[in-house]
Amino acid sequence: MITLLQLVINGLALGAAYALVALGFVFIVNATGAVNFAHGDLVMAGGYVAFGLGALAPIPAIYLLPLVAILMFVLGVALALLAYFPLINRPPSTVFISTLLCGIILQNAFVVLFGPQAHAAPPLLKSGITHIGEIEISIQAMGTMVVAAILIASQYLLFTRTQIGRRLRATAEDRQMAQAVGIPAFALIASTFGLGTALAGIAGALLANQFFVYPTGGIPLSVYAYIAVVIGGWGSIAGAVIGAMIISLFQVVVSAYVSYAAATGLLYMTLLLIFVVRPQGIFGERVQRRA
Amino acid sequence: MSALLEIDKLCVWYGPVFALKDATLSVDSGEAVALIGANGAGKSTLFKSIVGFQRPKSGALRFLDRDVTGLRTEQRIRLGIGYSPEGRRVFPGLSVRENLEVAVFAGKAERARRLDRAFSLFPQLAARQAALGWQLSGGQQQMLAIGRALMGQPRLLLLDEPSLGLSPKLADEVLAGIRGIVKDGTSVLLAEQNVGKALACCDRAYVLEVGRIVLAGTAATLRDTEEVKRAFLGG
Amino acid sequence: MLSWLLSGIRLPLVLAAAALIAYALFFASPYDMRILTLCGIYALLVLGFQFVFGHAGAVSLAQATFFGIGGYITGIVATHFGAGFPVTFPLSIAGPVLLAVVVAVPVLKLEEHYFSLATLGIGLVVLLLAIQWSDITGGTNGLPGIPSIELAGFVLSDRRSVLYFVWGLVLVGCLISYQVTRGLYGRAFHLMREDRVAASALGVNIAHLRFAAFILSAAYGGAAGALMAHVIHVVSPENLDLALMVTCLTMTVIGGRTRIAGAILGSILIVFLREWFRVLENYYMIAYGVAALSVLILAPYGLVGALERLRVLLFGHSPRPNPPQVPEQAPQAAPAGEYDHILAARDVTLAFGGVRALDGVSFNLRDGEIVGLIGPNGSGKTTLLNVISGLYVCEQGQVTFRGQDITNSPAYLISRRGVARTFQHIHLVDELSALDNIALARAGIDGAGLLKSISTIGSDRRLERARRIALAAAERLGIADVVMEPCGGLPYGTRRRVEVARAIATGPALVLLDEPAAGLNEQEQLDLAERIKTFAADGITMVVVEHNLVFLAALAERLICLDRGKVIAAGLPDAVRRDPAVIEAYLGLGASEPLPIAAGVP
Repeated sequence: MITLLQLVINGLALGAAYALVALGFVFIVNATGAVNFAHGDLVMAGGYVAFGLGALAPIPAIYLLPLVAILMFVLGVALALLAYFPLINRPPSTVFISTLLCGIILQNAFVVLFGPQAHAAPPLLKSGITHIGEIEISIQAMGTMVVAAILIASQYLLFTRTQIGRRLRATAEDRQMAQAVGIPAFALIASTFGLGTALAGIAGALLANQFFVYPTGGIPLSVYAYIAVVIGGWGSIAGAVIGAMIISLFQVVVSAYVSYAAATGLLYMTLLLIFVVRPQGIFGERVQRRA
Repeated sequence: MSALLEIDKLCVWYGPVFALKDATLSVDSGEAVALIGANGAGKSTLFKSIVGFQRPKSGALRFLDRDVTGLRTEQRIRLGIGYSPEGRRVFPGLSVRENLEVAVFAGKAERARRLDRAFSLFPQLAARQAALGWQLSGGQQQMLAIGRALMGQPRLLLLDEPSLGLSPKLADEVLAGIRGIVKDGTSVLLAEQNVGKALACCDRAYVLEVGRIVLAGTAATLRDTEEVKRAFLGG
Repeated sequence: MLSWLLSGIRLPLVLAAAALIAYALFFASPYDMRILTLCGIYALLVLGFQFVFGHAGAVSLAQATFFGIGGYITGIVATHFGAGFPVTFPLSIAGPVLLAVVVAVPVLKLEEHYFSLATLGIGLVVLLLAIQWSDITGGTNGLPGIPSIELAGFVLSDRRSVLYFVWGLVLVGCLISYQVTRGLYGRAFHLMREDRVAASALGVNIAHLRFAAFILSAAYGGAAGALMAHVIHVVSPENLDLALMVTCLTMTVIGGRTRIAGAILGSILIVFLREWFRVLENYYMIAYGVAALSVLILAPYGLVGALERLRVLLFGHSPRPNPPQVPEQAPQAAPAGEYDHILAARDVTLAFGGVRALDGVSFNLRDGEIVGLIGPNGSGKTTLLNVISGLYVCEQGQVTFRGQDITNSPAYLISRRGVARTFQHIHLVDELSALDNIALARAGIDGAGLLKSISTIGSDRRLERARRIALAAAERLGIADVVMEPCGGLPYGTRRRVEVARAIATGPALVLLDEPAAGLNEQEQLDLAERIKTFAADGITMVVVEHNLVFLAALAERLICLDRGKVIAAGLPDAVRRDPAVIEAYLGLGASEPLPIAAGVP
């Protein structure tokens, strides 16, 4: 009989993974205002890259992560050049759609390159399960939580305490004016997509060990990232993490007591309820305009 | 000594309609120059062309003796231009402090120094350091926009309609500050509709009418010119 | 008739339609007919989506869900109960509409991404139900064996008759779409998606419009889904999933979000792209994605927009329509009863994050007076206008208009009662002519409801009346000669006057002008002041927020000065100008000079 505490720990472990996914998504939102619905597919891409590199050099993923990040950074910049910059002056829903189309291209590229079957990437440190008291937790999950914590804290500090972070936020709010104070807006935006995608890649490399990578695996992840960021309050890093935790806790804890489908249904009901009570999300701000 | 800013026969078109025709003007170091004209005369268009928001059809644009027409906006700004646009455009989600910090491209110590200078120039901003851009009143936003433009320690400050939407008292304060800015080493090119106030704080002025420069001269001369008096100062 | 055909891109579209019809009639194989039928079904889906996404400007992600529900209702009722098309089709429309009505109230209040996510959430819940309730829905495999359409004894079993039937319904859908969007009601949508704030201030009930758009999208979606079920004879979770939603979005944006022709072009292009690329086998979806992305980048306003731009490039603009012949004065809404003061504010207080923008503001206004509202920036002038016009609700205090309490009334209601306003930054629709911008003022007041719009035959009399009223308002502001020009090209001073004309066209009893003289030259200011005086002479009360004291001096009978949310002085202009508190806070030392007094002011 699995205890509630074990369930919660499992839920948090999964939540850390989802939080990592949402992190790259909210990074791009905070720095460009763009909603990248190919994000889940980029996570899968990271997983595939880790799988590919792992096939070449069977070493723990922790050594492969930097290379994954670099390759994904390049992919992110390419995505920006293809799906964002040409549409930069169009309404935001157009970028939404262009990223969706890029997602379709990616999903089918995965099938062509790797086949439709699932693959796994090498573990972060090593496979296996460890015990803390009566709780058992896989080493991969622990590693994921540590990496997630480090990256979440770094992203938060970047946006609130550094010049680069301020410049990213300024560019997201008014790109032209950001240029008019000397900020190289286009270079920043390209780097943003690069960094956000690198984060997605790291998330994918970590997830691909516990949960396999397969061509359409990114779709639910994009949805979860979107849900987490909206429910947490658009643009809030803490909110995205909490949103990710809510999703995972429903998937792990609630579904242990009712069926998985019912748990998913309850999750969405809860989300709609949150909207009724707080239409701007948990940490969202109601920015008023002084008309 | 060549001029800081030289514009020669600049032509800007909005589709089939011209917004600026053969505009020629210059700004030297150590002076404040006014661009006077009604709305739609082309003042903002001129500023946008200087900064790079608008591409001119023809004409020369030189800053510090360099042709800037091929440069991107941020490159021109980094050469030494500060821009306080029409409508202020402060970053709404950034605090007052962050709005100022974001415009500095120097080390931490230098940034702190310039921040102090900005706060001593605009004490009202110091009092509301943590307020977000959208929470400020129009006058405070104008001060922030000017302060932000000065943070890069520019050689030339482009001030687009600073008095728009400000009370007479505040407008006076802002325009009075221009003399001080020039003395500190930043020339000013001011676009204003309030002719009296503009001529009071500037050395020279150009009068724009429907996209063309129709008059130019020192402030004193223009104040006495019949056309200016009749059109703007009510006889 | 000929001029109608030659304007815009109507001629090439009509020719293309004729070519397509000829192809369908004479050259199409049964397979081609099936493809064209699918195009029709998707066109219907997209037409519905255009209401909520294009016209109302809300990114709803529930369109595929409505489609799927329609299909499932048809499938379930037909296979489990053996009912025929005349029963299943209306039910397939009613079902999604019912869902839309139920979720509309909480969901439509949400903004942007929150709204999108809520609609996505609904879709995911329904998808889950479709998979889990396998007894009823057939689970992941779905419900096979759905019969062909049978109407009045005729079974539409061959592909040709199904093709004609589906496109017949598409035509009906286009007609309804056209009816909804062409009249005054349709104009209200345009204003709402361009500028919410201005729309509310002009009496447009935004909640109603969004609701109507949402319901319509559900109805069309359900109809399309039902047709799909009959055509492919099976319904499965694929009919409701995210992939279908993406397809719908893609077709809409590529075709043109608000154009009926766009719905058809978009669906045809996407369906055909997929067919053409099918030969590429493994690479087919990649090629499709690349092709769709290219069209998106190259034609950012959709194919219809691109065609129109091409037309202008090659043949120039279409000739502008003529202005209406006879102007008509806007009727003023009658007051509910007797009242002392047209506007009374009592202790109005409103704080933003700890700062009191308005602090116990009280004053009264009489019929037909012109009152100037002055004060330093941040003193609360625009906030006060926002409270009076209903954009903000004050926390304490009371605002009474013509004897009725409007403190908690929404902006659109206050506007309909007779309060009009202008804004510091001009809120006009650049692509529309000045006349049409002014006519928008009537959209909230005269615009008929949804059903009336659909049933209107011939020209929309309400729209014509709105334009006549607009002409009269334009004449009163002296811009009747440029009234047919698009607003985007008009000089600033004229745009200001269009905005004031728009306010006057609502037939107000009280007009709030927010810095109307900003940006005007001396001549224009004098002209505007004169016109404001004529409005006041007609009995309209005017409140003018201004910094330009020269302008106000010629105009205002009384002045009210605000500072930090409080009224620090009120009374005759001379007295207020000399008030030490006013000089200290607002005028500065330069105020000791006498202001030039224009002739005619006592």
